[in-house]
Amino acid sequence: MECREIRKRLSAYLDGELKQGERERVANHVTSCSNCGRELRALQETCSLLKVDKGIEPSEDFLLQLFEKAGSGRKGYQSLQRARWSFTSVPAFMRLTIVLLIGMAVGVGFGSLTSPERQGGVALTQGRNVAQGTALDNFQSVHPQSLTQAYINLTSLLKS
Amino acid sequence: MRNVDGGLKREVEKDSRGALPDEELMLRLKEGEANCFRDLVLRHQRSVVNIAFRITGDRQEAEDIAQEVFLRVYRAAKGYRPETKFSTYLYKITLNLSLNQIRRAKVILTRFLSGEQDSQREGETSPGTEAFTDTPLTSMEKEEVKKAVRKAIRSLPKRQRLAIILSQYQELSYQEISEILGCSPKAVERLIHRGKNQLKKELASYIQKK
Repeated sequence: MECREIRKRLSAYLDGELKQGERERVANHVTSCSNCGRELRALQETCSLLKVDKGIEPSEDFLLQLFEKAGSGRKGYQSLQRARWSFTSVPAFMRLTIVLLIGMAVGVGFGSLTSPERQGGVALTQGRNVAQGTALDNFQSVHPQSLTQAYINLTSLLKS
Repeated sequence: MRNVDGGLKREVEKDSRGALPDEELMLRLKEGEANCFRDLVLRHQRSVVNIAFRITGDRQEAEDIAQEVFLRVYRAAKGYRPETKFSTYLYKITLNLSLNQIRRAKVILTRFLSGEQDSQREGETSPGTEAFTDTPLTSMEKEEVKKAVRKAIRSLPKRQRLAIILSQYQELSYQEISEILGCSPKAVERLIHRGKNQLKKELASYIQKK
């Protein structure tokens, strides 16, 4: 009689649906009764076999199709279409990365616009280098006391 | 399989990204945050497609049903009240639509007939009574078992099949299943008990082989 009652509870036992007292009662019985123990193992194996079937994966365009269906319906669904690619749908860390990249791009662009090369051109920079390179010559060619003359020579060279 | 010690896989619905619970997403959707709908679909599409697939046995039908399920959820969002767990609500719609689809297309008969043909073919080609060793199943054996399992589940009476699908694949508690099926947890236990015993008979050759 007990075996019959126990067997009715085996599925619930395996599914963890029994309260503690009942669970202990079933556990004790199946360890001492070989028939019920065998029955329990058969049910366990059946459940294991069920798990072999992992199911199917939804097709890759499942969401797209859903939004298309939704979009072809009422007007309210159009908000879904918009939401599909909206900025808020992007994870937070990606949003931060995008903001940083945009910031860097703006910074680089602005920097290149305001650089000396951009303003005066490459020729001016080269001219300055030449002037600095020849500055010592100007000092050497004048009289040590004629500092004013050296200054005049330098400024005229830079202007040319 | 669920843990016998009661560590059941019934955790609160939250996805791997640790986002908001389903019910919160629904409330936000109700307030007009359409992106929440997208999150809900991504989170549950696999479950819904698979429930429908296990009931109808057809991938395309299952995907169509799943899309209809989500559209209904979206339409109903304005009147949503978090009185029941979102997954319970979602699976209820899924079961109803899947069963309606079966009724409409009379696919039960089709599946049953094609299942018979499949089993005849499988009988001719499968190793049959050859004993399995204790080694893990090869991919061919797995494929064979998978077919047999699907066929066995489809052969169950409707309510047993639904209870088994929700219990064994969705890992819902008997209480949750009872809410979806509209019966008592005790009745769910009986359905599952009978269902498992039936499956045990249907899959006996594979159980012995193992």
